[in-house]
Amino acid sequence: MIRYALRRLAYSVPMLFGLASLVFVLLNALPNDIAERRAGEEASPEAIAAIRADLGLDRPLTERYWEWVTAVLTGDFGVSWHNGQSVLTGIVQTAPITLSMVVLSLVVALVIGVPIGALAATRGGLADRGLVGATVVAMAVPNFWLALVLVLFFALSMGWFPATGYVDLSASPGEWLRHLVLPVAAVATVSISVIARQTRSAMLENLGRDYVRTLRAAGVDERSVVYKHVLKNAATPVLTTFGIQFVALSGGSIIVEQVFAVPGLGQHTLTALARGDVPVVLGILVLTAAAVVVINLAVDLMNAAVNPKVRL
Amino acid sequence: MSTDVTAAAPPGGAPGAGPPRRTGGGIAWLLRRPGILACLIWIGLVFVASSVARLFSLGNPLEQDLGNALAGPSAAHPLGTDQLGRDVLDRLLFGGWETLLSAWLAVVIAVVLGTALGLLAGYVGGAVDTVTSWVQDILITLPTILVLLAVATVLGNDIWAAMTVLGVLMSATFIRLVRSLTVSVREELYVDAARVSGLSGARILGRHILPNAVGPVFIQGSAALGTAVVVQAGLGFLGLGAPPPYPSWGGMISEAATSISLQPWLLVPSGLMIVLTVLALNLLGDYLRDEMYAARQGRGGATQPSRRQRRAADALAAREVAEPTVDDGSAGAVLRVRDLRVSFPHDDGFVDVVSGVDLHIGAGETVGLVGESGCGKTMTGLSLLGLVPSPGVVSGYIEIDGRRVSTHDGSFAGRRGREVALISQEPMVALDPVFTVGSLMDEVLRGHGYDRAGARTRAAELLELVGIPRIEAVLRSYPHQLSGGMAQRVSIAIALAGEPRLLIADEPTTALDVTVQAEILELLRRLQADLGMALLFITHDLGVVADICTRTVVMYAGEVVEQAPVEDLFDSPRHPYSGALLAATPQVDDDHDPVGIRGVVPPPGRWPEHCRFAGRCSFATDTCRSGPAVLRPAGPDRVHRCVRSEELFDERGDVRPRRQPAPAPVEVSS
Amino acid sequence: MTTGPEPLLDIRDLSVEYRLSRRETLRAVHGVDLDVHAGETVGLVGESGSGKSTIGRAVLGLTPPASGSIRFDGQEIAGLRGRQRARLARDLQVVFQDPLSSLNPSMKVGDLLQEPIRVVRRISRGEAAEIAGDLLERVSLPRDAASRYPGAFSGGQRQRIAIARALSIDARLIVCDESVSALDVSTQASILSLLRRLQRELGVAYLFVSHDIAVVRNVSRRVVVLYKGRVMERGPTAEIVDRPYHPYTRTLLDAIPIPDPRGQRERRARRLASRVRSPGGTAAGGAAGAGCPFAARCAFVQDVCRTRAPVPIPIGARQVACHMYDPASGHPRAGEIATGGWDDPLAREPGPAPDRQPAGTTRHDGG
Repeated sequence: MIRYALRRLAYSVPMLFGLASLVFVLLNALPNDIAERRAGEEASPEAIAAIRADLGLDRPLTERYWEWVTAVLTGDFGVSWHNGQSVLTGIVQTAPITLSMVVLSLVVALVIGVPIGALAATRGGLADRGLVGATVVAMAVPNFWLALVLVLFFALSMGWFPATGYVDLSASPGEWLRHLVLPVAAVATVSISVIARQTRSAMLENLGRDYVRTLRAAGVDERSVVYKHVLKNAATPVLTTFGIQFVALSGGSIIVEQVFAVPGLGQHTLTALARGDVPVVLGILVLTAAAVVVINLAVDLMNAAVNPKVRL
Repeated sequence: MSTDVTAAAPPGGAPGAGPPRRTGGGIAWLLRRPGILACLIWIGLVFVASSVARLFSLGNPLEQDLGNALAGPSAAHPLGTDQLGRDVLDRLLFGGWETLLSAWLAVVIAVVLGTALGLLAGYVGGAVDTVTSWVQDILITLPTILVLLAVATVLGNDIWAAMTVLGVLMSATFIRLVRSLTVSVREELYVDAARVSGLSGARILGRHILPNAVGPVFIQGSAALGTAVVVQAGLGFLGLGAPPPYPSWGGMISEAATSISLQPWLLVPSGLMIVLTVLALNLLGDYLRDEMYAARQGRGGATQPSRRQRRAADALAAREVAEPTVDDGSAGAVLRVRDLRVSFPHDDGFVDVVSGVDLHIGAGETVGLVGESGCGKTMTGLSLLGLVPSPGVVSGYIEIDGRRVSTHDGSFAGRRGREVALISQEPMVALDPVFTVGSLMDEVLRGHGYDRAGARTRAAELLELVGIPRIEAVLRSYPHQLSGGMAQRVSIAIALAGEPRLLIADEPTTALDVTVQAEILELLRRLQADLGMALLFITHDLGVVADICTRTVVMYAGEVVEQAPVEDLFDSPRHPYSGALLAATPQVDDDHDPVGIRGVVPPPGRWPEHCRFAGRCSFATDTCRSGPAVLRPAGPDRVHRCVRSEELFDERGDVRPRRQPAPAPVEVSS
Repeated sequence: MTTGPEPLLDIRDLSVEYRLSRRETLRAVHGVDLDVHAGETVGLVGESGSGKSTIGRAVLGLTPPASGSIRFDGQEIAGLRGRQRARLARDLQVVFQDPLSSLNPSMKVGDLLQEPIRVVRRISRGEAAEIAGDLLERVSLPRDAASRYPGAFSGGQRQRIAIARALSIDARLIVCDESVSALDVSTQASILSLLRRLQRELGVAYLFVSHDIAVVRNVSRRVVVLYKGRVMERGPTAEIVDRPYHPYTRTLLDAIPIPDPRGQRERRARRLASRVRSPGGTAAGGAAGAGCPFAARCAFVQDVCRTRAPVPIPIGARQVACHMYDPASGHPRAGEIATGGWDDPLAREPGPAPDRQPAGTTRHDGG
């Protein structure tokens, strides 16, 4: 088990490095007109050149890359081109908001999705077709549109939840939750469906396996066959979608934050985007990817704990 | 249920039922599938309408009419107007062109890139595979929306660039899909055969591997198109994409959001447009996947039983069969079965895969159930455990250990494991892979009423009973850490945990090497002597029958054709099918050439009214085809179902085809 | 052993290794010699892990050998690649075990049959279709089978198609890799007689790989018995089956149940009396480094068996790789056999001592 963990770690670290490099190159090597945009429409070529020099854009890519990598390794993601604020500080201020949305959504997706999938797999018939149909429809609904519909009904009409804003957990846990209900519902719906479908198909596949017949033939209680054996065997593919769902939910949160005017990473990104603030966008991207790598590592380790064959 | 069904395939899944290809024209095929048709119509409609609107500049998507802003649906504006009084329908169609086209671009890039890399990685393997899977992992790890926003930071608002990048990111899915397909096809024997035939790598990829990937890629592509539409709309919602005043679907939702309290209706047209289009694309993928799956299984269309079939199933299950009479020799037997039927839905009714089997097994007796594949052996065995897979219906009289079992209300619960247990064919897959042997045995034993300590002691006793060395180590092992023989011993120990009176062994040694088989047979024989169970031994190997069985039941096409004590059957079979099986078996100590049986077992549903073997029997005459063949007694504890048996015996003294001594093998020219 | 002209297939000292991981390799085949003459059938038997299929795959060029030589018709073919290997397809073909997975389900039978022909010969589609029709008739299938997909046929019919494809370019040697193992006995017998008929008509040679000795006895005159990648015993099939010399061959043969209840009872009694050790303790895996691979299970094991690998000893038309038959080995029983005084608890029937060559004559060292 420890050897497996080390092996996964040995894979993840270079992977993270590759990711960061790719992202850096993507943002720095593509032809861009950032200096022109920053200089404004009537700037002289000299002024533009001055801005380029100021931002370091005139130096060779390899040099900038080396400088950036060595800095990042010491935890320094540079400063914003816009206001000189440390990139890391900006992210640390906004990320927890988005992260709480993502984590909450992930938990919700798991808690609702797995039972729905299990129910559909074991009940069959009308219940199965109904649940599967509901997940197909749910997966077709864009989260930002769903968010608006939710706002319309539950905030504007009913007034049950606030339409916009965010309250810090430390300020008031109740208000924190109340502000997150609608955004989380909007973001998690697709994930619930994905996890439910994955659970259903993995369980159906396992229900047809020989070992299930052996257990039934040996007189093992049907509840235990389904909820202990089949579910544990089905866990591997379900857990594997977790990493992908984390990525999807991060992206979804960024859009949905706009609807609810939540001051999270999404707004931070869009602001940086509008200002052409490359270091900030780069930092956000690298740190998000790092979070995904860590989540994937955790998922792999959980998988290995559940399924001994994975450890091979 | 795949493994079960191959043993007695329902009609259509059987060989000879026709290739898994659609028949008839494409239109007719589509008409029979309204779901697929509806999806295609919607997607086509949206695409054609928006292309026409855009390319021929129909409608007035930009024309403002401030006096008529935020109006609901009307004759002039079927979907209403937005806050600047522009026609919503015109704007939807105008924006749809770009949405669909850019989504299409992303998917084409993803498919081409992903398929090429996936094929390469899967076929070449080695370092190429390692690098590709790295690239794929990186692409999957990147959060799509963030990357697209980052690209927009650098390149400015360019939806086509963004969708190109999206295509590259989405290619990861296709790399993974095509790679795994390629790897599994590469392992197929037909690729080896092609290689032996001297085909070049490119030709093998093009003719044998790529065609297998087309279906799955198309299905995945349909879903990816849906994803691309949503992402494109999301970007539009965030203000990327068509710059104002030009419309995009996402941009229209964003505009609707600003007047959400004034005119909520505005959310509906743009939102529904996206939902319906994505839904159609996703559903199309789902439907095609079902079709592909059904085609692979060898049947077409839906598998949900119809109402008429459900009624037929209820009627079948309720069929009353009287207890066997005392004089058939079954009195006091552990297992008594009379007129057992197993039926599966087919067309609009049911078709039997086992039809009218009578069977009895006494304590300490081992009965062999033999026959070719497709004769219903496994289904017979499973019906005695109540484990016939789902749409199947079991009916008839089953009595185990003196108590009747109802075949249709789950009355097997509580009796499985205690009165009747199972050992199955593939020991390596018959044990739950994610639990240790110890925890599996603990669970089974606790179910039979042992406490924790008692279960631990009993588990060790059982493993010792089945001849396992190093018991403690085996208890801590996972099934995949055991050899095939060891795993089968563990399966036997688990089956014995509830001290069953009847043990069903379904080809328990077929997957094992002969030396291991000999030991497992020895073990079963010893257990049988010590524990005095009734043992039903299902096998196709007559050598195994001769070794372990006391009585033999020969099945053909769902019914018993002969039943006799084992020595009588091997000495002088009375049914030509038994004789033909014996004559077909090659013998290690005999130089005679085995004689094959022409033809194949007819699939269920195509069994004739008369003797079912007549079509393949070398002794069949018109008598055999004149009416149903019934079981007839032939001496003590012996029955057969051949109309001509006595006659044949008088004529030739045997019902076996004559076997030729092997001709001298070809001499090597010297 | 057959003497005469150069064998069609001549394998010398073949070893094949599989890489299990970065550090471990499994030696699946270990120094095997084998020859097949034109028009004959040689059986290759053994249990799972014996390396029998690996040898077949090495001959077909599907698995690269680690060392040794494979000569076909006098030409070295081990390690041939690309165009040169493709040219061999004309002479060397295969029929696999599972006829369902050895025929591409998405290609029509006619196309499957034409494909190899059209690779080798530049002929028109019409001519190729004509040949495909002839091939189908040759294996007793209707000509119109060409227009259907493999899924439309039963297991036995599919195997006939696979045989037709193997024959399609006048192959001189067909590797039959468990070709009848997946079939019901009723079908198996028909396929075996088809193979025999084709051999008579076309003079094709078979390397017949199988775990089923009863089948091998039926088709092949000579047999090679493998265990954990090494040859244990080889010689005329009937002779070996009736009177095995090597303890492993005996164990294997005694384990086969025969379809005769009385006869089987006797075999069982004999087998139980032989005290062969349970293989239960032995983990699956490759051959041990030194010594005889069967030492761990052998009833006659001595120290020498564990430390030194036996060399093949010629006895009449056979070769046996067992120290008991090698007077120079120091195995206590070796002397008894030489004097004909070996009390053999495994002997299948009383008979004269093996008519081995007098001690001191040339010993064949297996390449």
